Amino acid sequence: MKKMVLLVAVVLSLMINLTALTYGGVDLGKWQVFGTEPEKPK
Amino acid sequence: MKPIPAYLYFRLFLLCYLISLGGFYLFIGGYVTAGSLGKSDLLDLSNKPAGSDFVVYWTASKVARTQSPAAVFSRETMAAAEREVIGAAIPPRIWNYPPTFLLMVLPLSLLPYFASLLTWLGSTFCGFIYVIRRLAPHRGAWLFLFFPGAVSNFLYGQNGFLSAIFLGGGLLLMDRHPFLGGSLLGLLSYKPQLAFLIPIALAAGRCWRALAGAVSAAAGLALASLFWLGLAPWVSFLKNLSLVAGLLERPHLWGKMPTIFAGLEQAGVSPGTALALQLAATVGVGCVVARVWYLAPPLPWRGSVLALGVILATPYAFAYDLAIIALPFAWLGWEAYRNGWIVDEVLLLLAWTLMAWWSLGIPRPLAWAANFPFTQAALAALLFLALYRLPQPAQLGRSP
Repeated sequence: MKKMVLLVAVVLSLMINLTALTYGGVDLGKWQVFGTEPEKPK
Repeated sequence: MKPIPAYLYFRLFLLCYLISLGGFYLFIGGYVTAGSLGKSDLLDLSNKPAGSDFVVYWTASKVARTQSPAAVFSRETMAAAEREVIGAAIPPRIWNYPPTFLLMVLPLSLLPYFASLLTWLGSTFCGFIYVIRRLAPHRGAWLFLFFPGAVSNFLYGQNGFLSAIFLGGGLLLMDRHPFLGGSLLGLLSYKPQLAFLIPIALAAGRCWRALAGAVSAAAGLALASLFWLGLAPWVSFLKNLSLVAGLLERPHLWGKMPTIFAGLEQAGVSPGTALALQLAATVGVGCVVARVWYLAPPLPWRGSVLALGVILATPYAFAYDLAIIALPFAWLGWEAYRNGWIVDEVLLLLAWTLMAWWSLGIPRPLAWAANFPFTQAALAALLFLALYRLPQPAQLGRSP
């Protein structure tokens, strides 16, 4: 029973994340502080 | 058979969700970085330098060793050196840390770029997990690999693990070896914006030997940098401070800053009001930290309140600095686990979720809330949780 619950939780969370990341996209270019050009001030 | 309560299902699901979310980002980050292997340049698959911000550490180390330490503050020198290292034209990055940190990264360019990146992230991560394991002696402590602050630090190629080692290690050592523990805390002075609450906490807690250790280590580090690197980098650093302060006014950085100031700016509050509210929060959090340290509760509470205070009180911190917040998660999580406080465990996992969404990626259906300061809200909630669970005055070292 415990193993079954764990398996369902793992599969469900993998599916949710995979769907969210595929649908939402991942922009790994944004993970930097240095070298990013400033936008025009508000 | 005894039925399993619903909250246990929820807790298990959240844990699996967060591990797979962090795991996805680590995998994709590693894949994107590895995309630069075997190429003529060191640009990764997202066209930024492999290892992101780490390129500044490595280049600064090379410039300081082969040219002059003060040259790391020169835009032209650093831009030329970075072009040479990366093998492609990239936007110039200058060094904006104190010379004390330059001293710490000085050996990095003794190794080739990739080996150095792996050594830097690998060794600081091992130290970070060791500290976490000491705070929460549970076999699941390695799960902090997927903590948002840790994943961010890998993706940014930054120094968040080092800050967490200095703060967490110093606090761990402090009760048994006050001077040594204080010395480790003093090394956090390489990031003055994260260190200024430490002397306040130590003085309020009347930890004089630890305070002496912290002051000695900070002064010793500054003197060592003066001796090894000379006066010129200090002069350049001080001249450069206005540029660093100017980073606070760049809207494209606010989304990467988990500070109250950046959260307010992103929500559309005017800069003057945001700064005034940040100052009020800084004073308020400073008073809370001083009060808690004066009452001298056990380390998990003193440490959690100080670590949360460090980020809540500063206007200048980035997503990778959240590696420090793994400390209160470990302390409060361990206390919740030991005492059977299931609600606290679920609250911690929810706070972890909000931080993951803020620093890694908001799920698509929630994209409208991308500017909401989830992390700041989570940090404030954790501070309230720590204060709520603070042992009663009768159990404390001092009467209130």
